[in-house]
Amino acid sequence: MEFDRRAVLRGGVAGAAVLCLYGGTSSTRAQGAVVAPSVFVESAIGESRRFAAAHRGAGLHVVDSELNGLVGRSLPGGIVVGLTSHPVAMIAEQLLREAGGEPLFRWSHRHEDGGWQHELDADGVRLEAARAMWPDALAGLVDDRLRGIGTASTAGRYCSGACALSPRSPSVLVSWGFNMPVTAL
Amino acid sequence: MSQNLPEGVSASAFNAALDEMRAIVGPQWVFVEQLPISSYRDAYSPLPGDGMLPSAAVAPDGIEQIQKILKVANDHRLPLWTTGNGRNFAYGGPAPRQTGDVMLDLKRMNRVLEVNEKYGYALVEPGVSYMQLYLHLQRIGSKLWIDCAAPAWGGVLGNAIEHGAGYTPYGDHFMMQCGMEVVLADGTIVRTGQGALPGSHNWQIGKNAVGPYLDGLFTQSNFGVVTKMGIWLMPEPPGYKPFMISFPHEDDLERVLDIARPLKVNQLIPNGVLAVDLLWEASAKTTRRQYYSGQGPLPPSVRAKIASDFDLGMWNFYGALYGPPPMMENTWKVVEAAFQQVPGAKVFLDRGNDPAWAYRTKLMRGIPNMTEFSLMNWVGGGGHINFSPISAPDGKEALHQYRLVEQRCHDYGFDYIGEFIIGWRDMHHILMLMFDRADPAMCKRARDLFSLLINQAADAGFGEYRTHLLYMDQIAQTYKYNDHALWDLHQKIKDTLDPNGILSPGKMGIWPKSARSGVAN
Repeated sequence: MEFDRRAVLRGGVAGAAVLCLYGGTSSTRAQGAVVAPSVFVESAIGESRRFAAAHRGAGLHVVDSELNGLVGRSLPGGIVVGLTSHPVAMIAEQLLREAGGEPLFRWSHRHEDGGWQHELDADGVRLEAARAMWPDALAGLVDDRLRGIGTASTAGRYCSGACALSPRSPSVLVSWGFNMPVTAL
Repeated sequence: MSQNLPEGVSASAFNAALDEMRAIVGPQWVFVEQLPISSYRDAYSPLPGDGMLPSAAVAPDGIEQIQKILKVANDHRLPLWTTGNGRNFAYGGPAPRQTGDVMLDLKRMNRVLEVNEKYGYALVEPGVSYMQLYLHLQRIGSKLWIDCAAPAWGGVLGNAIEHGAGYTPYGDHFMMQCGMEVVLADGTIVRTGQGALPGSHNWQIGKNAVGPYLDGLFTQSNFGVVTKMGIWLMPEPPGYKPFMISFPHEDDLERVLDIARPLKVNQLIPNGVLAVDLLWEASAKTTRRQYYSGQGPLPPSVRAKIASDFDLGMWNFYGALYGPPPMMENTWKVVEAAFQQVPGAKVFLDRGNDPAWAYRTKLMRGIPNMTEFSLMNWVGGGGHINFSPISAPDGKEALHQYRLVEQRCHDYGFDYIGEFIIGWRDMHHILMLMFDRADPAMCKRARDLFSLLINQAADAGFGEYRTHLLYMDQIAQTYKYNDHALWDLHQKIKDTLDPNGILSPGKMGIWPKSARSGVAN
């Protein structure tokens, strides 16, 4: 199905349309290897769109505001990641686990005290002072995790600096990743 | 390898049982590793970590395999927890009542066995979801509608036997059930109603045979494994007219429900109507953090701002009319005039891009969707359990119940987020208790509040119609007329039908004899 990736990432996905585009199914996790994940993007949430845009060339799996994009559709194989609201994370995690997915990471992000606070088991120093660009920085951290760069560390808390909450942001987000059996395609 | 053994089962017996099950279903359909087992957790649990988890799971493909699995379970006294689609979230999801049970996962049994266009029914297996049945009907060009619970991924069979409800005129799901096939604990296959007559073509037409009506025994119970169920489906009407009417004051609830009652009882409004509170409506469009960063329930001034910003009332009444347009327009005149008696009532026949309007109007015409999950963004943090007492569709009684529940929510620092759904005679009050799973203190407050509400509601004469795994025993205790005679009867039936207690022990507070102590008799 053809669709305009740029339209999705600008938040231009209208109505209940569900668009699936899978690109890149390589799921090798050897250190330094290129990993092209499928990215779940919650089209109504700016941070989610920004995170997806930072994964250049990744396949996008769009979930619109009706949250129907996950049910009754084929799930991607290989690496799947997302920065989404809790409800979408819950639905995705349930379906991906049932399809044999192996969880790779699960990090939380909350808007508190005028900025975004992040809890993750990775070195999140690049998130600090990222301000509104934190989803981009997060994408880099995810990329490192998928490439096997750096090791999982004990949970740490990081702050991105002062950043207003965007009007449609739920203020609590989850970044997550799964390694799916390729037969899930 | 699982770290949780079933209660009372040794490791050697457990492993032997699993080996026997692998020989029945194939090794790829027996799960013991932590990863697949983790999909059977309650994602919304108010307990720390993953809450109750099974020791293993087995997924049969049909009744023959189920019969063989039950024999293994009987031989080894292995507790099985049955799950259909496993989507009972807010009531425990796919999780078992006790850690260590073996999941009997019926998701592979997901066939739509029959759709009868002439008489308007479907016959389904436990793994059929609303979305699946809806897409199936679309694919075959059917003119039948489904009636679905709010989440599209829910099970048609599972929701009905859990006494779930929907929002079309066919919204009382168990009322629309017709005919069951059940595998008893000893492997006997029973078909209820006209299905017990070999060659009958009326299994999904008539609910009764001669003799007792037993279908209800297999709802919210652990007396058998339901493997097929008939469900009546509504023919597509020639017209559909949804509406929402907002009411500005909290106390309007009394008058609104007293107006709605005769309209419902006389079937002028035929569907499952709802009176939805402000914050339930608002949570489809915004979050608490967008309006308030303080602790505790929202101040009245903030509630007023939300109502103003989104053109909502403190109560927002949803209903729909169905049928030929001339008849609908005549009925609408009666309905509109009735509700306009409430000062400040505001009628909406369209709310544009309002996501709450969008998902509700879809549900009222049987189009499944997942949108109601987005309400969890109100708090964020992924925790949610439903407190679900019954009341009569009486305004004074409902207002009393609302004030009781609202005050307790506020006492414990929660917003009241709820709705009242009017069925044929009863009214379901659903309190959506949301909490942040990453906040242990908030989780504990949620658990404590829920427990308190059960007791206080019971003292006031309101019992629940459905509940979360954690509270099944407590709620069973509240049904104590004549020294718990009803639960005594449940236990007698359990002991007769499942003497080894292998089927879903503890479901709704019904425990096998070997496990009973300190609960209702």
